[in-house]
Amino acid sequence: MPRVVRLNDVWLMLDACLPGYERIKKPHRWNVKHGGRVYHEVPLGEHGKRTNPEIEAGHVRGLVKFFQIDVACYSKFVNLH
Amino acid sequence: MTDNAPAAIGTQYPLLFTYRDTLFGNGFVVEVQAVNGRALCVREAEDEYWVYGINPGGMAAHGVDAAGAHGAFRKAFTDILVDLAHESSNFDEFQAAVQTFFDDTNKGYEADWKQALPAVQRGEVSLEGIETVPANSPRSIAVTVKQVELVTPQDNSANVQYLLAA
Repeated sequence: MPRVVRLNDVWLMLDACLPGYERIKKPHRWNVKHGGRVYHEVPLGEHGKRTNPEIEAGHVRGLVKFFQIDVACYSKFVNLH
Repeated sequence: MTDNAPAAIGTQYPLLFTYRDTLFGNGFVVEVQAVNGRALCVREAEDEYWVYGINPGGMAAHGVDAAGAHGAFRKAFTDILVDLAHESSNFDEFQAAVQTFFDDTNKGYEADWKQALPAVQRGEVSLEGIETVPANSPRSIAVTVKQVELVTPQDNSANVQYLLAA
């Protein structure tokens, strides 16, 4: 099983580490938008468990690398490794 | 995609991929041909492989092996194109959105992708049955209107090719 993180912790991390970001709910995923750029693949979570669901940490690794969020910031909120 | 042998945890595979999709948009049918998109496959843990997009950079997918991770990445790529088609009111908007999506580089993983090349060049990293091609192979994406009279049953088959960059 891949490592998972809580989606609410991802939003808290982005509040602190990527201020001004926008999250946009799509039919099958979240988009995270900042500075005119979009990360397309943040999962909604497993069907039926979408109140603060767990999502695979790899999607968040992709997200933090995409926006080049500093490890010193994101590691306060999510454990990705 | 099959591994030669169980690779060490952390092994990185720099990939180049070519995909073709035929999609329906708002009043248009299009073909999207991505050539030499870049992605990094990483064995993150036992039975856990991730493919991180470099171009396009805004996506990732995983599987229990490299082939499974790539298959999930391929599907996610198409799913995102479908999202973009939903959001675009005409062909020009869709074309611009696809170009932006594809060109937006994940610079964090791009650095890892480049660092992974020498191991492939030295023959220390390989994937059984997967050809190795130059890392600087030209990258492009083309979005073209598909005339309905030119649609054939072959359009139901995804064009999927992925190679190891060196």
